[in-house]
Amino acid sequence: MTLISDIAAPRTLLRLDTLRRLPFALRSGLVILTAEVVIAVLANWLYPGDPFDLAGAPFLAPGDDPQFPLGTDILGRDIAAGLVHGARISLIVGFSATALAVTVGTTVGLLSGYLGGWVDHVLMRVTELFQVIPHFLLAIILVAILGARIEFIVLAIGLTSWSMVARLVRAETLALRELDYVRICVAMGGGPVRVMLTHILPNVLPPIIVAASILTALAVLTEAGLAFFGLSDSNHISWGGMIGASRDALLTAPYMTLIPGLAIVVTVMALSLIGDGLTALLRRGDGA
Amino acid sequence: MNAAPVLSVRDLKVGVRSARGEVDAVRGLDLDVARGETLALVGESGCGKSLTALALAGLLPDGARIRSGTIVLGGVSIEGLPERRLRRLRGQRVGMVFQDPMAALNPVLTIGEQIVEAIRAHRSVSRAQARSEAESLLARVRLREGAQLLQAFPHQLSGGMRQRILIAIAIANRPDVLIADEPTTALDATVQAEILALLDELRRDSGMALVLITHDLGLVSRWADRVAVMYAGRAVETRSAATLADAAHPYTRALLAARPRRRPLRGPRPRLAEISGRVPLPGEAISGCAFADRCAAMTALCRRQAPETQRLGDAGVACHHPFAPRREVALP
Amino acid sequence: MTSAAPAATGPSARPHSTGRYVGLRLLQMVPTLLLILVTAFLLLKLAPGDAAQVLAGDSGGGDAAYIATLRQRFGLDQPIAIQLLLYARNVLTGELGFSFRNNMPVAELIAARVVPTLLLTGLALLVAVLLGVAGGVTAALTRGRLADRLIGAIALLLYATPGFLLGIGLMILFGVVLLWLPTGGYADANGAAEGWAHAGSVARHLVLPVVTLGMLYAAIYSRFTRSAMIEIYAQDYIRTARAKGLAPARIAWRHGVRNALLPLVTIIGLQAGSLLSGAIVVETVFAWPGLGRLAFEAVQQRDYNLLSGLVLCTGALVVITNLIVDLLYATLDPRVRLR
Repeated sequence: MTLISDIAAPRTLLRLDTLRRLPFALRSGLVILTAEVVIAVLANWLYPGDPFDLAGAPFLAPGDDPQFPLGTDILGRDIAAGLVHGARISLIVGFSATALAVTVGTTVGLLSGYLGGWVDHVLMRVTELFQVIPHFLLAIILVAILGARIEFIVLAIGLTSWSMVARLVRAETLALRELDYVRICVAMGGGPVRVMLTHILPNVLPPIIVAASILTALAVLTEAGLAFFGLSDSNHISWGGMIGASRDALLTAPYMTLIPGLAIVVTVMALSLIGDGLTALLRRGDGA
Repeated sequence: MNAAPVLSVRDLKVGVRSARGEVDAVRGLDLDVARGETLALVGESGCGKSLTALALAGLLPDGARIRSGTIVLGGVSIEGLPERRLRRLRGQRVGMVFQDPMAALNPVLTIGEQIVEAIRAHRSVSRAQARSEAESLLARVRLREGAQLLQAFPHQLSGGMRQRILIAIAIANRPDVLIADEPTTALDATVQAEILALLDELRRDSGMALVLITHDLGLVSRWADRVAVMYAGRAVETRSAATLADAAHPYTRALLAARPRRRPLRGPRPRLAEISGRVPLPGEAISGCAFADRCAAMTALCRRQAPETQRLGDAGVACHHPFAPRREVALP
Repeated sequence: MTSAAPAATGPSARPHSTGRYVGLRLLQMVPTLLLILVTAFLLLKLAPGDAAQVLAGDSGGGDAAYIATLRQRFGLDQPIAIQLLLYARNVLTGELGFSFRNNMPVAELIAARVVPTLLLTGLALLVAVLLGVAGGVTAALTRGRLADRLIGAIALLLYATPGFLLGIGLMILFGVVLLWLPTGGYADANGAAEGWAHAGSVARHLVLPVVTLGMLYAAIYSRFTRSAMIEIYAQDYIRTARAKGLAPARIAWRHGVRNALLPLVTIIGLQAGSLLSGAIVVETVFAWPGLGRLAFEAVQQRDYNLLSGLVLCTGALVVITNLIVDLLYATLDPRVRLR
């Protein structure tokens, strides 16, 4: 037992120390986001049961009834329960859509930048297409056509936001391709797939990670926007969905909109802070 | 040297913020520049010569500041002057030319706009008048087709032309002192001589003093009246350029010996890096003489006590064991 | 002393032909426009129910023979490639299909909404640039101090606020609580005011949507301007400007802002589509009768003809905006030669 604790103690110290040395923005963003993820994971334990259940009287303002600290909505659903369960869906949508966008964008960017020629030409025209069509318009159309289900919402957000990643990765790849060690690797017979995966991808990762934090923030915002348009999955509660459901009570009970709205604001702020902090960290790493 | 110097620096200390707190990069510099003379400020990179130049022009970047010492310019001490007065000194009493002419001009403004703005910052002349003045300034720095050049943008011009334009900007208000910080380092070898000749000509014509900051001791005897050799933030030897070969400080001697006999025709001259050992870093604690570690003549005294500047003929030398004139160079 | 002649001959005149450059850029637009067209067509094909079904359903009869006749009339029985060509021919002749829900041609519906959207987005962009540049420059010049932190915090908060939430908040504050401004619509409904009275009414209705959309983008532009200014202030030419003895305000304006505008123009161009996305939300909140509100209505009614027409038009609008931005950039930056 002593052995394990001996090993564990310095490790924890080390981790705390590295955390303390991170840029302030990154640290605060990570703390907020981690807290949200923990809440989302513990949702079923914190508020067992279906958040869609009509738990009490409708239109209870926060503080009216100690049983519902954040009040109830139009139909009498517990807003606190909705907030906690909604965190799950909002974060899952945010992260999954980003994963999709990053995968598509990185693949397109790598191929385009590394192979060049007509591949580059065609892929860049397609990328441009996804840049010029307003993302939100395309997203609402896709969800309207495919149906307001969580997987289609993820698909719509992911498909409309990968172009930024593709451009970024392409630009980085173009620069990396000219570096000596990459050229040597090519000259020594490294195949394109091998060079892309072992030499280029690892070097493009840092900016991709920054982009991912920004994309996740945008995805959370887009999910909320879709829900405001009535395009949310009615089987899963999400922050955007809560706002959409409260639209009719906007003037009479603004707290129904405000509370999930604030959750979105805090999440997006945390993700942006992470993005800013990572950018600062990368600059510091460059020695600039 | 009899008349009051136009620029006088006493015990200048420039502090730079670093990871270890504020450290001195210039550690007590004394300098005098007479009207109309060319003083070469020579030293290896990191000796504090560029920071000195910026401090003289009041252009220290964020994180650097004058910690102590006095700078007297034309009889006026700049210490404690309000920003507005300092600004009037910059560009009017002190002109400044920098190392990289490619980056020192604003890419989106025409040459004309950039010269006119320098003139009108200090004198209330009409735009048209400033423009015609700008045109004659271009002629003074030996650029032809001035009228056309005023319409041009920096990217359309060569490095040599840009440096001439920066010189024109620096002398636009007939300054008392022109500080040129490595003005030819970024240029081709053939252009270097032309630029130095131009600076020399302008100095002689206008009577302004020229402070030529360089790492290249080879320029000194041809272009300078006097030379101040800087080491670790201090002037270790100040003397007439004509007697440079008789240098008394072991460091100056080492620099002279490390100079390549033949200058390459093309490309930059080799840097002076052949002296063994290294320059103390800014902020590094120095006890005794800063050069002691690299000096063949080092004794226990050098370790113990920093040498005061003593007069040897026309020269000022900060060394416990200076070379006597015409002695053979002994090097580690 | 040798005569010091300039190393290069005089400044070369900029050999450019604006006409050729514009022509080339127009040509480059063609493949993108074609791709937009294909996308609009694919979305139509992806949508449940084709025009024939919709039409048949609307007129009450679900009879198969009737639908088949309709299909034939619309060319819907042809192979997909032919259908695409037919669609392209229609689009090129200005025929964007028919909105059965609105009982109006799509082209007419869209045409009626273009001006309000351009009005909204144009003014919002102006507000965003003015606020964003002012904020970003102030932040950069007071770097690390209170003003910088305050501006950064406000920008972050605005950036993190969903557009509809900001719009609703402003609407409740200024339209419901304070009653200073109308909560929505294009102009006062009572009494068809003419001339200046009408314009004044429209302007009052514009304030809240413009401010909402403008503030969202001001947040982005201020962060961008700040970092651009900080980068520029590290440049040698700023040191030259200081060495001239220029006043700080003049350095900031002429050498800082003037140069920071260049990358900002690029960002504005890249975000033209995003601005339209924002307009969809803001127009919906404030019932502003533009393309965005039209898109919202079309989604509510699942009017796919109209939606695909909107994709075509907004896509083309963004492409044209990008062209204008490119030309603007070329006139702002002397280093860019119009090729």
